[in-house]
Amino acid sequence: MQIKFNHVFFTYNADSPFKVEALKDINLELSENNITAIVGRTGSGKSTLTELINKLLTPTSGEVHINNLVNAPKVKIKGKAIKEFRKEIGFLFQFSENQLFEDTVLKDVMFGVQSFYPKNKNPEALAKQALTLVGLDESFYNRSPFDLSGGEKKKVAIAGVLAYQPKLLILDEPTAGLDVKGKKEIMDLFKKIHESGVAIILVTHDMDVVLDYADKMIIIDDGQIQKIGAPKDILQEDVEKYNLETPNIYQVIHLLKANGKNISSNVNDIPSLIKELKHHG
Amino acid sequence: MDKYILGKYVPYNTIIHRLDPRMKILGMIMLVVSVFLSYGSWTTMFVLSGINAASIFTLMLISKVRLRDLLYQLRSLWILILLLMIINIFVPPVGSIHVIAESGNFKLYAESFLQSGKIILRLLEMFGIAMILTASTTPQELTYGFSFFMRPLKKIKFPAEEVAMTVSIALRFIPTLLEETNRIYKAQSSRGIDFKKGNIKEKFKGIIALIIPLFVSSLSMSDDLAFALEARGYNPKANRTQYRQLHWKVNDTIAIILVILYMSMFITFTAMNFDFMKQSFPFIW
Repeated sequence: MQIKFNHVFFTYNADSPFKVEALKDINLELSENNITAIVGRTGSGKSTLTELINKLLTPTSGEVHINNLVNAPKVKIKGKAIKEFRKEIGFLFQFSENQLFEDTVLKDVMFGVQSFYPKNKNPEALAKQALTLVGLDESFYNRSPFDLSGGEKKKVAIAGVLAYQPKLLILDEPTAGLDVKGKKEIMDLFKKIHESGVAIILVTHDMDVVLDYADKMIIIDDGQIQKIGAPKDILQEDVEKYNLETPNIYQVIHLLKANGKNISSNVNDIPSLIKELKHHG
Repeated sequence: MDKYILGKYVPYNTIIHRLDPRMKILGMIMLVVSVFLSYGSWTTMFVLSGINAASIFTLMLISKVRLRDLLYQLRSLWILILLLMIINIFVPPVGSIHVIAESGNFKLYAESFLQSGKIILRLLEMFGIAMILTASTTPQELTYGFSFFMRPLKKIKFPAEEVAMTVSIALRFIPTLLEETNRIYKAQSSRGIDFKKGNIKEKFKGIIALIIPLFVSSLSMSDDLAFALEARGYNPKANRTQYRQLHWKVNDTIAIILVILYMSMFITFTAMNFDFMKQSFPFIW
């Protein structure tokens, strides 16, 4: 997908005492087919940025180009056209476990397929395929989504997004509230989906996830883009001034360096760190 | 949420914002009384209603409530206005004499339109008053104010404290629930529901997809809240003190006297059945 931000400003509640300038002059291109992480402190404008891509919000000024569509003030887009491009985008919200509403898991997962492709004869097959992908077997199909645990609900929500086979996935804090094992499972799943040709935009606070999975990262602070680049370059520098945590591996490396060990800057994960340490003896 | 909703507090720091909530509640009740009094003739009625409208508009200016927001709130009332017109045309107010048009047995009275105009004007004024109160007073203050007036009811075993607590929790959760609605709305729109356009079936489905998750999450929120209250040892029967004390200041006294004078003036007009057309100042100011 071709996504281009052109001098985009976004202000919540303009013209009132609740005015908040969420984005200020954003210029950005997100067209590569990779995993892009958008990070920044709470309230920095990350979520606003992603919601502009899906036309859930309209910029206060400036333009967002999504494929052939222009999301800008005073540009009217027909409902049909919005739907036409929204089905290319899978948007997984934070607290996505709260969006379930059907009486069975299978029906809820089918819902997206049915509303985007009303002519599809077999939405059930797509739904089952998506459920298998997230690791929920047949025993879940006819259960009520409200009886599931938090992690399982999240998986159902993810399946609901994957079922209509979008070309771009926007994930807002997909790992929030999951345990270590669940986090790894879900991120590995997204990686697998990415390898099948789906671009991913990931909003997160977890720098370990960014380092392990993202190809590119964008730091947003105070509504402006502060840094764009490869996670292994950016995260080795001081990111704590943006209220971000240095990934565990770099914390260890910084400590080792402070204690006189010489470690090359190519070390980004535990196996290579062990190798490096063995090498130096 | 881009637009103001009726009853939303707007954090300015005006004279009206700084008044005591008890004064504001009393004052607003008195203003509503002045608005709903009836007078001798149509001319008098409209002149006095005009004076009311001007006073309320002045209060709106002082408390920075915008007329635009008031009208925006009432935009959906046009159906009511139309209905009012129709009812008043077919059932003219008692004592209608001015016939505009006639066709067979049916007579169109001027009073029908005057009556509709009167009701709409009063409605506008009343909404204006309510908006001034809620825009200039935080929900917390309002609850304290109301619970103050409910205190005497405790003598007859009325659970004043519990009601105040319930009301303040309900008010507190309005913005939270709006936020939640907004979030679910966005989630379901990106799953392919077109809430704005789309056919009736789709809209119906959309409403279900919005209401059920909202219900579920508000139930779980209230569960959490109940646990949090219990964990802190909340006892509804206990005699509680308040963190924020209300202080009656000189400004409040001045304001309440002004409002009482204002209301008395209108009550006098009504009591005298005062009519601008017939009388020429029969009383001494």
